[in-house]
Amino acid sequence: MKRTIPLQEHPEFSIIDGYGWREFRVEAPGGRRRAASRLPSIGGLWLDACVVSGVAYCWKAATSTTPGMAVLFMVLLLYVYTRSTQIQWESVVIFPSIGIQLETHKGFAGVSLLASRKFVPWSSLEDFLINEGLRGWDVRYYCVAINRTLEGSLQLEVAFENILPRFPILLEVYHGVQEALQIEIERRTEPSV
Amino acid sequence: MNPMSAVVLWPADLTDLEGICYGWKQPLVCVAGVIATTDSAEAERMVTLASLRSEWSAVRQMFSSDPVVLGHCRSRSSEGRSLEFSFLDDSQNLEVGQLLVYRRHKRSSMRFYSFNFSELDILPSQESEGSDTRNVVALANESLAADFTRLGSSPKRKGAVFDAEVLSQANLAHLLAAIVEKEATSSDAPSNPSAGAPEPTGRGESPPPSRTTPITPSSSANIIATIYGASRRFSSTMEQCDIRYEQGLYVSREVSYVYKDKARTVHSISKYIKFHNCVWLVLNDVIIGVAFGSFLCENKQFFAQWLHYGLQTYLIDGMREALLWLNSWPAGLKLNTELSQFYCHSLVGLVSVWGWLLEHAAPCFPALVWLIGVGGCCGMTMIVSLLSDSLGLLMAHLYVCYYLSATVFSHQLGLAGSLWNLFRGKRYNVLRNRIDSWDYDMDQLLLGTILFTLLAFLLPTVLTYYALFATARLSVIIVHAMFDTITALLNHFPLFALLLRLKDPLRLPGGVFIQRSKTGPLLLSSQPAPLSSIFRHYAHLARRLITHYHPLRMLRQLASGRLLSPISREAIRYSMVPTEDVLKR
Repeated sequence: MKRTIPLQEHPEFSIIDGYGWREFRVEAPGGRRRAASRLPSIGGLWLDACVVSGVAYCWKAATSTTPGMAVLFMVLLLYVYTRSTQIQWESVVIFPSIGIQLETHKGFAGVSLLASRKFVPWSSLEDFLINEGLRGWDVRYYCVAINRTLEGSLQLEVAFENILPRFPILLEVYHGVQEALQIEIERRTEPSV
Repeated sequence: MNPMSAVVLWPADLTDLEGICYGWKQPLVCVAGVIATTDSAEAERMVTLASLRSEWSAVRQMFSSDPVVLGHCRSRSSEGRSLEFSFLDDSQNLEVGQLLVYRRHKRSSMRFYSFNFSELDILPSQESEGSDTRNVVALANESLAADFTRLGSSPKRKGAVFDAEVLSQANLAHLLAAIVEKEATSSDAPSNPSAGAPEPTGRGESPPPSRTTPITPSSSANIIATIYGASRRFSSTMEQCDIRYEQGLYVSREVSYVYKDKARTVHSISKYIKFHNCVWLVLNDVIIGVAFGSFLCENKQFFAQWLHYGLQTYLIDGMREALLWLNSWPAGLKLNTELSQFYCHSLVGLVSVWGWLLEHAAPCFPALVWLIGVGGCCGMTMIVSLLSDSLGLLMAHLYVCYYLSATVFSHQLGLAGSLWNLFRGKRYNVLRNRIDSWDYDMDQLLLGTILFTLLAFLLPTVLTYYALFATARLSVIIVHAMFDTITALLNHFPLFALLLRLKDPLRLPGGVFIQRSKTGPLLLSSQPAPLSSIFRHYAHLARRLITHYHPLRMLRQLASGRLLSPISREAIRYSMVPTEDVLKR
């Protein structure tokens, strides 16, 4: 597996080449500051430490009554849930001759615990575009895969839906997917071997 | 000859064996199984015989090509799953380009791969859905076709691509392997027509039943049918009975099909799920209904007394007091005395008559509560609709008062509108349906002024009485809306699909995705359907309800004197039976 960082001023974007697949990965901002570090960031750890000391402080008072215990339990559960489902990275994976897959990985501190994936085979991918999204005065570019469903209607799948990276990254991803699409079309329409 | 694809689908449970593998070559090389022999002629014979069997020919029409012998293969699970392949007709050793591992699901487990959830048609449908999206899709298609920078437009769609046919091959691979193994172990004459129950031909085996009763030539049946249809509109109990009748009809029709079904295609699986959903839902409904009904029956005296007290205090005496309050300068407002007296006396008389009726019907209240409790045998939904109907009946006097005051108010508003036009020198042209300027005569203007005086002095009185009854009607409508929502939710809950998703998510596929491993092969996995797609019809229902009961819309209706009405029953009625729209798709 080979990992390259094609854009110098966007180190969160990397291209990983594996056997039979190619991944364009964008990591969530605020994750790892230094590429070589594997520890969670200091800010996150301080927050956890504060929460643990706060819980220890009011443990006696809260566990004396049943509703207090229930409330504390719910709060702790909610906290653990939000901390362990933060977006770690999102990627667009190209499988030559099969299709593309849009992935979102959630977890904690660089480790992915949950992953949600959307697979679009080449046969139902109509096109892969960069669209310009306007929300008020905000202009944001996003990559979108146009998927034709079995009933014949079109569906838009947004790549990097939560991170929404900036244009240079999207341009790289767009070129990568269009190249793969071109290779696929040539493979499909070439005369017999 | 089409170029051989570099992707090979390999079953996950075949490791460490050697032999002749068979499967499909188009559109992708999909291996269905391996015969442990080295004689390729023997293997070809077995595969050809297997594809002639009746169980196979029942599902043959899903594929564009027959299963063939692919070649000799050897798989080794050490060294990271290397696979050696050699194709028979080319006789060249081909190192496999990309291995995609999939699981061969048994047909009896009813698990399968699918690209999206809508292939499994298990959600209840309505007659008026989906017509607005077609325009949007047509526009999108046109804009895609006009885009000249696109690579690869549609014509070359068929070819060595991963599409729905590949998924059908993966779904039926286990069946093929089982048939070939049976061929290998026995050497009987194949193609006996009675082997296995082949799937009934075609998708629409039984015609969909009509929702209303069938129209027979006799006029009395016509009259009964129209009365039935009209009563369904007014009474939610009749609607509930109709729903139960339709469900009973559906279950009785489908039971033979579901229990004799051996061929598990997507269509038959969706029928299985719909059938069991209907049965479970009705049974759950009946259980909850019996529990609540027995609670009602046991405490009928208490509930009857409470009902009597509530009606008397709030709806009869409370209304009467409110009317009397309005008559005598409410909040310091000086209303027109004569009109106010007229309103007050007539409406108080109406309310008193109704109160007298209720007093005499009071001994029957326990029996009424008992009847509602007994209706729980047909389900909780029946209790809720009976409650809704009886509440509507008991508050009929409010409806009558509201109707009267709303009519007067809307007429007065109409008069105000035309007087407004009069004083501007304009007139409403009925022929052209527009406002035209017009020269009025002096006596017309004079008459208008007189009418305006009348209006200006009488409108506040009418307005206050209308406001009283409009608020009462609004609260009644909200109660009816709650009952209707509860009924609709209980009637169409996707219970079976939800439990299936919890118990065995692979039986409810919502898509496929590819899992990458550190070494070599990719794994084709099925994604369970997301909860939002299981409850899609609820989102539709919620949208309908919110559109109808939107506060601004209600306010606008109140302000213009239009009659408030609860949502029509067709809008929240879903049916298990696929309608003509769905069948045409």
